[in-house]
Amino acid sequence: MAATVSLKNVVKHYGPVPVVNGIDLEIQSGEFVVLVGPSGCGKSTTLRMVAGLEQISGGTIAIGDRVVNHLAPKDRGVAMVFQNYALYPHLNVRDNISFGLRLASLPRKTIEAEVERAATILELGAVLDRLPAELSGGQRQRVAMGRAIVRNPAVFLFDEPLSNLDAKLRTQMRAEIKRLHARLGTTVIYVTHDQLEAMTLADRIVVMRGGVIEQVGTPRDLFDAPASAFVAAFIGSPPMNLLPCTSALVGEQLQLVLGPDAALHLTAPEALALGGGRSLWAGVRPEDLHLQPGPDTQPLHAWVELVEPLGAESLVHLRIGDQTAIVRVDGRQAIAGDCAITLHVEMQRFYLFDRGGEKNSPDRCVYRDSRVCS
Amino acid sequence: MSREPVTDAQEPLLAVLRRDWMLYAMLAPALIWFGLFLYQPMWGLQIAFKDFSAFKGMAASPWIGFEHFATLFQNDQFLRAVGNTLTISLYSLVLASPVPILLALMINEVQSQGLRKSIQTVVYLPHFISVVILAGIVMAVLSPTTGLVNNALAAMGFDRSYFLTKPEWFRTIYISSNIWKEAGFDSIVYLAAIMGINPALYESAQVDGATRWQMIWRITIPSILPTIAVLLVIRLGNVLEVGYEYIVLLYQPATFETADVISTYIYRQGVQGARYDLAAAAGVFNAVVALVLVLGANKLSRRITKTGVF
Repeated sequence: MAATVSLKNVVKHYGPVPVVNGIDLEIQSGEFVVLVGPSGCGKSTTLRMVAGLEQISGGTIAIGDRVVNHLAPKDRGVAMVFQNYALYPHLNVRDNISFGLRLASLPRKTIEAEVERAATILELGAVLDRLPAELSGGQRQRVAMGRAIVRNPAVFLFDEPLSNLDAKLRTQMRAEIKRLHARLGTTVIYVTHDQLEAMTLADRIVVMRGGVIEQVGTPRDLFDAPASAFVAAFIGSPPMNLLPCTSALVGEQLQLVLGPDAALHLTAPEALALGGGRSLWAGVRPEDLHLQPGPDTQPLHAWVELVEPLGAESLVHLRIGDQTAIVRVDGRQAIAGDCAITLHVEMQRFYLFDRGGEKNSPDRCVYRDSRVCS
Repeated sequence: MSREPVTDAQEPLLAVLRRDWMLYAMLAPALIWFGLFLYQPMWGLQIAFKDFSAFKGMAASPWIGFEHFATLFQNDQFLRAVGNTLTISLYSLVLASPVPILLALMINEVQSQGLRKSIQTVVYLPHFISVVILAGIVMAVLSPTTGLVNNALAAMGFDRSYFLTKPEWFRTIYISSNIWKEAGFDSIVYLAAIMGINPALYESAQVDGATRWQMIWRITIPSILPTIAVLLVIRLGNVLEVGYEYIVLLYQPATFETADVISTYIYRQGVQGARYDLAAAAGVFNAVVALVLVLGANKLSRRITKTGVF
């Protein structure tokens, strides 16, 4: 019983302080959408407005074909999983899961059946009589999800549900949430500041900054075609290297000056349209910087500062001119630290972003895939 | 040079004292206060078991065992005082304990910050009134000639009554005026406990469809139950400690029948009658019963709410 969710020009102010500035978002029935962004970007506020826990200051929120602006949370057909689990400490797992059903005065047999179903899905059968204090972090999170499942909501809302778990448990729970979504097929809106969670879970990611949506797209779209330097730096781990540079027209080429001894050249005719004298960010992902030359690479001199071996791969921290950058290389490749090196930039995967452009989009993408962005 | 971590268990006491002398120095005033004003006077309790004479002194007074206790339990006035103490305490426990909880719950429901702070100020203020002033207010309000209550009764056609001379009214007056004085201040602890409840619990319940009333019953009260239990343990420990100042100020021989409690009995025997040994025996009895009650209540609290004072 999944439902669509539609946000039209949704605005939220706390007094004179704007928190969400006119969000438009259409979420398909059964879709898994992740709202991601740094702290204070308005993602949790947006989720809470969908839940009905925050009044909206303007715009329209619709779930299914109903506008829910003035509906109480319980009447919206949503269930929410909170960051700190929000389990009632004095109730055991069974009573926590059935809390909402008991409030609705459903028949005892129905409640028992629903609790049983949730416990089976989440493998909580053995701990139904335990108090939350007697559970591990992962089990508590599953109980919180169980409480949401039994309400058979049209939309699941997750507010940073994994942020209190350790890295190993987070990976495990991420997989469980993905399996749960596949099994239930319910619409999910999931808030996180962790881009890895966003990438692995989402059908579509909504990147937010300063109360507005910066970009919406599939994880692949956002990774391959970031609309701005902000998105480029947010999606991907390690993030895209962004090096400040200045453009200059040199003959039939556009030269990008990264430092006294560091420059790249764009030879594609349309790159000339970018013009000289522009302040830009040169963007290149750590995996698109190579130690060996390729068919479409350009050399760049750098100084190795530090090597972080991660096993299958190593992260090499470099200095290019007076900028820092990271390169991802094969873990078996031996690289000495504190020495000069020549990098080869994969120009097919090279990006340029405005640096200090117009007010509304100061860092928009102006060049990628060897062509100027429209 | 790195140093092996040493646990306190392995370290000699003197070394610990030498290392952390500043911390112990800061602790010293509190320890000295406890020693001087709480433990040192206990030495004097021995006179409860002696035929104490101020002329002979404490050491030279002869031991007489439990004779004073036997005297006390054969004394109708003492037994009446024990009965009155228990009655007043238990009535207070039953009637006065829930009021701060209710007050805290009500204050917590006030949404306007300004209104909430005003209400808090108004209900906290009576706590800071001295019991002497309170007794004066009570006497003025209940005055048979000019008192508010009697004026109201007279206006409604009832006879005027001198409530403070009527034994059957003493407990009601004592307990209700005490509630008026202390309920607001006592609610601070409960309010703090309510403030400590995770707001997400309410939000989660809101999404689940709980009404405000259901949230109070199903979240707030169960969440502050450990605090209620701990305070109940403390109150039970003080069940025989009915404050004598206020009673001494309010009671008169006409109301001794219901107003005379252990502490006022000790006051009359010890201070007014100079029977220090008998008063000390009454005090020891009071303390032993209080200790048993505290231990019992703490055990009960641990069993029911898994929380205790110790």
